Amino acid sequence: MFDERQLSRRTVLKATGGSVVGAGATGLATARPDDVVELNVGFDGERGRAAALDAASDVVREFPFGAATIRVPKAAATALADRSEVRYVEANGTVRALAESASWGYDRIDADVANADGYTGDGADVAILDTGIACDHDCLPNVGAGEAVRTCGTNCCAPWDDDNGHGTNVAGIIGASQQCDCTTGVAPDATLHAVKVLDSSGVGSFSDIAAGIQRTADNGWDVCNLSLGASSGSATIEAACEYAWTRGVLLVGAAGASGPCTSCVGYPAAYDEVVAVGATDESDTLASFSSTGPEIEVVAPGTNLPTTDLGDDCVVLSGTSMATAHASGVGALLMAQGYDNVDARDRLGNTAEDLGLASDEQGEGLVDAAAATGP
Amino acid sequence: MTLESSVTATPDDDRVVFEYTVENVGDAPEEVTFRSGLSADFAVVDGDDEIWRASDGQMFTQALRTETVDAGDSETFSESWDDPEPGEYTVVATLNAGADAEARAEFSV
Repeated sequence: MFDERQLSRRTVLKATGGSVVGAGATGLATARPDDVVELNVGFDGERGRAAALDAASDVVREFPFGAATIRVPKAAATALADRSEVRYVEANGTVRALAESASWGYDRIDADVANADGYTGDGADVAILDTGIACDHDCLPNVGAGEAVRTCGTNCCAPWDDDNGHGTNVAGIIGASQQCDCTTGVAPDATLHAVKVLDSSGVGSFSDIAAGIQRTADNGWDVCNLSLGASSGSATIEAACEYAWTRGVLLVGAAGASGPCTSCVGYPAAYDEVVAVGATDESDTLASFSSTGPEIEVVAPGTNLPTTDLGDDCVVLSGTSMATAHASGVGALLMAQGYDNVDARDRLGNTAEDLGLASDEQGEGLVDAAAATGP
Repeated sequence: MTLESSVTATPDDDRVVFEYTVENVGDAPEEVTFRSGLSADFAVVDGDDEIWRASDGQMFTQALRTETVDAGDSETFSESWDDPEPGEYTVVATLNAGADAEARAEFSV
């Protein structure tokens, strides 16, 4: 039976609104591929009916208006939804509304689909070069070993604990667990490593940041999230990026919030070794603050995103920091699948969704977790 | 925008301390959205030459931060310029918030 507790918040909201889930794997976000789910399927003609009934391990009910309620393994449901003669697939179940919905950004880049298909970042190591990460946040059970280039100031559970909040905000978007009420990370099973290079005010020196990048590489971690920057660069940080890139680290950096502006991508995002990430909003337009320029490689959701905060809290934030975290999350899904940093970077760009924005605004387009991890 | 700003420069033994105050002189609360972890910046200029900038050599978090300044309230940011060369200078203080709240003051060391 389809256990109602396995419904994602997104499914719950759609179902209580009475809306029909369009063809696609939506509505089954938290089901594993082998889980049997109960669905209402709408189809066109005899071929559609045959496709639905053939896929079913159990037929619960047939309707005279081109629909049926069936039970199928989740993986088969995904395939069914992709068929042209299938008009819709919706989760069937008695559901109750919850107070909070998951992040629109997580849904928009189809991280729900990637996660449901089993791509959760398990085995990937993501370094978050930031103000630290809270050691004891219920939503962040996968925080691993950290590095303290700067040391946490007060009420710290580790030298790399977060005394500002920003690093914990970024960590939630990358890797909050699927049990988290606030949001779900793009790579909920990735190991998150705090590399504390920024102080309690969110400020760090060039040398400290370069040291954090170097330690990320020396630890052999896969992804280096750089939700930090400035309008002028540093030769030392650039050299550190080269050092890490040649040692297999996928570096992902925030374009910055100097917008509206042209040719204004900040550093270190603007360096060749770093994937520069701009921010989009819920309407798929470029966030007004997002810096643009030829270095932009991809864009990702960057406005009004719920994420984890200090004290087990949840906040809603905007910034290219948030966009960068989404892109790093997709990078983590790829590195967990065995991609090296060069191939992961190519894949991130090649599978991005073209939003029709100028190339110095969107780069290759919006990162797409499902396409990146798909066939 | 109902923000008014001012900056002071106070030379000390081997440094100059700058204090930049932004006040909401309107009747309603003002929201100020900082573009990054940098709230305010200070530049010391000599004519057209920039001699020193507080934010040089640093990087900042890249999430927006919104703060509300209530009517009649003010916020003060301070920085110090260490080991200045003697001379006549101008300090230019700016808010990293898109708002036009620049303030200038001349001083000598």
